[in-house]
Amino acid sequence: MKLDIVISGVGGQGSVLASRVLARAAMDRGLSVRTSEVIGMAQREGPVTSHVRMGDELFGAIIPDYGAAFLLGFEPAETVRGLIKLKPGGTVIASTAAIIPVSVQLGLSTYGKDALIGHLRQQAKVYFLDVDELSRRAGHPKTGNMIILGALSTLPGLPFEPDQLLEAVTAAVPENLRDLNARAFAIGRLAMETA
Amino acid sequence: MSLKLLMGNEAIAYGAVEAGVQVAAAYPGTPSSEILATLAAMARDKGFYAEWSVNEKVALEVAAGAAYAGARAMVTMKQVGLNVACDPLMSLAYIGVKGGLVLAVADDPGPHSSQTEQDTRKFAQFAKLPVLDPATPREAGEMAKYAFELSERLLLPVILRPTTRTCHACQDVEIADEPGVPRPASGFARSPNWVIFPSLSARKHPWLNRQQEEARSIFEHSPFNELLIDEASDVGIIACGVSYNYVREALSLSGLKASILKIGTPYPLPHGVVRELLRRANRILVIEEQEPVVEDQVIALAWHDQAPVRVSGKHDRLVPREGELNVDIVKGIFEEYSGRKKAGPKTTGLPELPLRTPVLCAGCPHRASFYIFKDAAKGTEAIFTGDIGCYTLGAIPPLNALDTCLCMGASITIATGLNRVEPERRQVAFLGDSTFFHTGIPGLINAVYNRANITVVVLDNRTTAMTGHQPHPGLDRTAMGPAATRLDIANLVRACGVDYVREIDPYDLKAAGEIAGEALRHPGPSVVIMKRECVSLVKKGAPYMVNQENCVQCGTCIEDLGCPAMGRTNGVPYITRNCFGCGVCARICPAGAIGESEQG
Repeated sequence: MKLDIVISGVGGQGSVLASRVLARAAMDRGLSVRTSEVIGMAQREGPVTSHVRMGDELFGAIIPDYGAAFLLGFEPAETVRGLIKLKPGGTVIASTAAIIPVSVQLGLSTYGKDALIGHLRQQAKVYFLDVDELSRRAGHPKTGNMIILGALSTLPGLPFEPDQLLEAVTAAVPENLRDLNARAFAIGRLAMETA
Repeated sequence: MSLKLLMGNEAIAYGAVEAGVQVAAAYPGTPSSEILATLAAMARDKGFYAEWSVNEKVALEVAAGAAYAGARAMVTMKQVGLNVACDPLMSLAYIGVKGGLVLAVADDPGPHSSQTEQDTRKFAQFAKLPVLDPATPREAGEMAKYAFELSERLLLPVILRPTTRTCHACQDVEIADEPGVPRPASGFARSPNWVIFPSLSARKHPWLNRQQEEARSIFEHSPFNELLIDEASDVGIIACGVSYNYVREALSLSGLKASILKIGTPYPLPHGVVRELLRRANRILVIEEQEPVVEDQVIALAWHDQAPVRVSGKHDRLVPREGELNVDIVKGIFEEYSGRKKAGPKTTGLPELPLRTPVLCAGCPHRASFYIFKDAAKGTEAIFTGDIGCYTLGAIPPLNALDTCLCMGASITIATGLNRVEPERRQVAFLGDSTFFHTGIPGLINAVYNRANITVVVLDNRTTAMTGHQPHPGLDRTAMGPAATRLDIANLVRACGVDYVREIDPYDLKAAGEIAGEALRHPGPSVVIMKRECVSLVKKGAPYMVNQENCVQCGTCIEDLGCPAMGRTNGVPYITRNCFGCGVCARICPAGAIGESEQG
């Protein structure tokens, strides 16, 4: 068994926590794991990618291009940037909530959301989630990571059951935030019915 | 034993604790910082000592002192930190240690968050010290533990060199349930051998050279080196550190056959295991990141032995000497090496992607400080010299506030040098509070002593923000708890002989602007301390909003500040829910159209 998952987003969206939760859930199933994250300067509103690998025999933490079965996109433009890691036939869960970088306000680059979403639709099997609205429903703007994990838990091909992933979520967050994160996870699961 | 998900840096800390480390010291630097952070969190409980030192030279000397007294000591830093600690390191190799001394020095090929891609294995070779190069977080932990033993056996400091992809990678790692207890230190024993006179160095140098051969022979039997022979192939691949992972995976992806020699002890390179490979394969390919450290030693050995082999790698430009390797790059190298180039699938018709670079956070006080000094220097030919920290981001648009950045502490000294050549221009040096303590102070004293007409701006955000909010001597806490004293930067600056010293809140644009103007006009060195806590440490204030009726769409708020909490649709600015509530945009708005939002 071997499964690679890539998470693409913007610094501060909680991709590190999401990758640790996935790794923990796989470890609890007796699998070896690797994660690789970007920590440091790029955290501050820069593009960040986390790699999560699980399986029986693993080497490095970096997923080769076109190697990931799942791409979890926390931001549309970053999801497009992360596509190079997706396996042909792989699945994408993508937040539609754009984070417009400062360069766009300054006219140094452009953000064509429709073109980005259209491209994703064309390139892969994509489930789009309105994470802005869903996180409002969950009760906190920073719960997008857990909403997307909840959504992922509904898909086939994972080495753990949804409950086991949720257990890893609750184990990873402080006690006073458990209900909030569990709620976000459940909202993510529900949203997949219509995504 | 229990299984934990550990980052490489955490695994190194656990390894040191298992080895019974007694003293740990560090200056933070990506990707090394979590090693000491992890140690500091365990120190009280396990009964050892950990500190954030003011810089890497200090940290290494603190650790060396502990090792002189027979304690096991660890010092951690990033690769450029070793440049700062180079002076004690070179001499320490001659003097040697009594208790095990391990330097964990994190390299950052890429580079992801560093000024250089320097290779610490090369540094180890230069300093004549053994170096261990882990492939995985688990191995990094094992090596950390072993390095203390090795150090005590050789009486030399030992360098452990992980790279970013080990430091910041996580793995399932087994840790001992009962980690080692700090051993009682044997104590410092007086001896002329602790005093580095030239006569001692002359005596010790041959000893140090003999220790190279001793280390090499110890490494002959190291479990960190592993030879996997493939009888069916005449190709032998030597892979060092993290590259070993890429080699194994790329081989299985490309279906190529080769014998593989994994090297975890790149210097001094053990000869026996390399000779064994040279006997089994006549085409040798060396895969390592950064400098050809292993490759050069293999070439020297093959030449010495007159071995009938051809060695490929960096010298025939097959393996890049810059940047990181990964599975895809190594696969490409294999394909080129074996003469069968294959094209992979390609993503097609990529839409235009927005440029996204790291920026100062919403509400970051540095943004206000840069705005204030840019405004005060308007119409003059002032040069703004920068330093290492979050505020280096002040160099990018729209602030464009920094003209130079070199290394830790260089803002003040580069400004001083510029001032010698162009005394008619004002040089303004920007550096953070932690950087000021690190290497800013000698430069300031030099500027005072040699009378340089420069202005120094200390961006005092009460933390070492960039590397994860470590404390420094200006704060009331240390790595392990409350600090006995808190050094006041203004008093220190006065004690350095600066007459013009002012402290001001950068959010108070008007008052700070007046002081900035005064400081720039002041004859002789002037220092302004911008005091305001990092936004990551304090609660958000009430958010601001743009009153659309009053807004004249002049764009000042967006174009002068570049705040990530501001956006613009069809020319009309708006403030997002990421607003920190600093109010700087409201204060610079010429139409008075920005105010605190009512819902607060």
